[in-house]
Amino acid sequence: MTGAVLKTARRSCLSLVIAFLLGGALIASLQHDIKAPFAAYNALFTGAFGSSSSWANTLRQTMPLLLTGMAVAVALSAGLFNIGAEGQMAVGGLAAAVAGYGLKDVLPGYCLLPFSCMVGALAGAVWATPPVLLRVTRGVHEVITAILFNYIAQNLTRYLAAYPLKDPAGQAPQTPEVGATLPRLWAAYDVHAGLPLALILVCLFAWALRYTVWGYETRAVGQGKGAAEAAGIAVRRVQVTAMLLSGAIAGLAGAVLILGEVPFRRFPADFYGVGYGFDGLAVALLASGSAWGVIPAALLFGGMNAGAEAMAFSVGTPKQIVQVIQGILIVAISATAGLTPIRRNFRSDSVDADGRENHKADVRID
Amino acid sequence: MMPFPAIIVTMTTPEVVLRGITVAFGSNIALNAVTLSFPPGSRNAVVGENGAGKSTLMRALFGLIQPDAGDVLLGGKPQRFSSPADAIASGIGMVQQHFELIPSFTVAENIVLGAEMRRGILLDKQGAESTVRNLAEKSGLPIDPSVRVAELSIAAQQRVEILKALYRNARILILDEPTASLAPSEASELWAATRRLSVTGTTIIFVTHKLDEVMAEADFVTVLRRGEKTFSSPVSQTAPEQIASAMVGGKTGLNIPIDNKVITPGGTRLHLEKLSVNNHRGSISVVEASLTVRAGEIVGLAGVDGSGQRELIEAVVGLRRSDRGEVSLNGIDISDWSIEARRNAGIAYIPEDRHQRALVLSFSCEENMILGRQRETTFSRKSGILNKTAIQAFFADRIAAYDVRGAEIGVPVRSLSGGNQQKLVLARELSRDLSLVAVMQPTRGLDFAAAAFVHNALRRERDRGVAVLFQSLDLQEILALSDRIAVMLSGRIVAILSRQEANETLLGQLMTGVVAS
Repeated sequence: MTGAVLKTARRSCLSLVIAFLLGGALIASLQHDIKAPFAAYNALFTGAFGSSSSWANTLRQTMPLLLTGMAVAVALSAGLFNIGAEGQMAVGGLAAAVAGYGLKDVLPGYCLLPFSCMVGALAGAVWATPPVLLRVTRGVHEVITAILFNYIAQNLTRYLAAYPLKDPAGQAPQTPEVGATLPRLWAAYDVHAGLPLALILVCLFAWALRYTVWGYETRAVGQGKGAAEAAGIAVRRVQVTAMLLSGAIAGLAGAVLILGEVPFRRFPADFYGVGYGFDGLAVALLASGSAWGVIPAALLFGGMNAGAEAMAFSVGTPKQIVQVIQGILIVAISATAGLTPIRRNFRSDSVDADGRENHKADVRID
Repeated sequence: MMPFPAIIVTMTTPEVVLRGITVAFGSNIALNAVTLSFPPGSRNAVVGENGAGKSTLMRALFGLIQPDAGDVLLGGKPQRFSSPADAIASGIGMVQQHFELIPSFTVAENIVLGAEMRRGILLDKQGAESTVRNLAEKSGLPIDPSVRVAELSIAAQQRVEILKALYRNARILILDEPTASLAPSEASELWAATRRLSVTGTTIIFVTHKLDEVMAEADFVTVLRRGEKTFSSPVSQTAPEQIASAMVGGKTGLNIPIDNKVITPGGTRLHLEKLSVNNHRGSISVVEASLTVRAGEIVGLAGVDGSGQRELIEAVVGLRRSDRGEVSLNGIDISDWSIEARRNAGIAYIPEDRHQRALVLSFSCEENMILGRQRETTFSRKSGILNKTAIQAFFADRIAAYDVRGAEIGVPVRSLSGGNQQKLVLARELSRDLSLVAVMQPTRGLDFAAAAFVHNALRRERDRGVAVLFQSLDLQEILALSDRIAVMLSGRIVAILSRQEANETLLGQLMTGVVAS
């Protein structure tokens, strides 16, 4: 097990080197300066980790990625690819915003906050339900349905926030302000209690995957579905559970964003597309092989997102270059077999009567 | 003089000769220097058990695989087929067992696909349909060219496949197990069509394991066994018994000691009452099979591969739903029980495909040792947390008892040899209170020592009063291990014999339908 983790860690590092080299070549050619990449990466690094305020910015970006990355990893550990995290996050965020506003006169703050989080998680799980049910009962691929549910989530949340649930007191298309927000860890920085919550959940997930019956059965289904079925493990139940949990964590990510972060505290109509859900896919793939890997992968992506602005400001390299590097990174990981679970998933396999499926367990979450 | 230029198709069919065809997959020799010839316009049967190499031979002839040695000669000239396109260009057509049709396209569209008739840049749909209609009438394969393939029966789809080959001017037509999923009336229509085609000079080569078809429909028969040609003769000079013994007889390489211990079986453990099972394509795999396995006896399921043994055993362990009839264990109807419930009731399952069905290859050895048993109170606490200490202790104990070499805590099970993987599966499945052990191909791919170990383990289970039901394609293994033998043919149990009554020749004849019980 440790050998496999080392192997995937090495692969992720190699992919990182490739991505930054190619990104550097791109920067040099864009700015007609062979030294530009060094200045850009220096600024990127300083912007991400150079001072306490840049650290704060990085951690602020890392927090939702920990949750969405874990959401995708939970589904992946059962052999499912939850591409719907972005939509589940939006639905969860809206539900939390509505609960946080609607019940603010009913519940005291210390109750309202966890309750709103739970409502968000529940909404995310509900949003993940149709894709996984269609998958296990009808064999419809969850990637297709989850993408379609993303569109529904995007437009539904936009409509609800802009019309029926809009704050009547303001002009902007957004819900009213919630009654309780997550406390900041340091008064000066916008890093709030969502960060330790996310870290605890990732640790809990990594531990449970390895040391509980639930984790054992989930990994067995993810890595050897045929053998798991023959051993009497209820494959469909395991997959449904994993997907609902995945949706709940993505929904929680949305809730924590809305309930904690400036400029939110309200659900804006254009919340969908904030991007953490899709970045969560990248984080989970970069972490492939280890649930613990979600932590460094999220920190890396958080740092890159945070440093991008500083890089653009100080040396004039367009901040979008960071997204290009992230894209190259994912391609590099998939080229080194990182995307095996996706390839495997694209073979429709859930309802074949023979249960025959060729598992390559190169990528797995444990 | 004719008013219109007539296209007169007068192609002669060349003789097909396969000379010294050898195909190896890694170290496994699938075909060993097979030499054969198919005269023009003849109907030829290639028979053999699964794994005998008959499909491989046909695939080599059709250019799907390139032989490692040997030649394909057409009319005396050596050919190089680097792909099916080359074979098609030389007038060879093949209808595979799994059809390669596009369901949403019409019959005509499927047939002309890749060689479409055009009118400018448009597809000439009418032209295609009338050509296909003509072809269908001429070759006696009735079909409506405008119907979508998705709406056709299996038999009609097969006609489309044959027409597809004929449209490409196939003069040599290969049919791989053509009647495997046809009803008897559909099969006789197919045979009538092949007779008509052979009259017009088309050479027919079909792969089968049904001897009645060989006797009725072939001019020449060739038998393959374990990659070698064991028999080849005109059918008119051949008795079915000769074919049967060439198919299944002979030494297997594994010389399995027969255990002549006289057993005294106890009460009924497993009982199947008129069990019928459909396969995933909806056709019937097991037909009204009734069988009893008692405590303390080993019952072997013999049969040519694909006779329904797999489906029967999978219906017993719960991997497959039974459609009619009853599966009962210790007198209780378990037909609707889940796999988990059946396991808990004392059914152990040792599948044929260890890698797909018995082991999670990326899991460590000790994790695989408790697969399916992770919820037992020994291995996990009420809180749902695995008891690693107990798992490791159990693992160490079982590894020693079953002499699983190379198995260590934390080592992925994939790094073990096949024999040790199978021992690990046995150690897991047999180390609990059992009523029934269901085993498929217990020694597939194992060397002699490992095979003997597996046999002894199964006999030990029998001696401690467990009922054992196993399936094997190896008649020597069936004869060596079974106390009673059930023979399956086309989904039916056609005979149940005691070991004393059985011998290879008789089993071979029962399996292939040469003699009825």
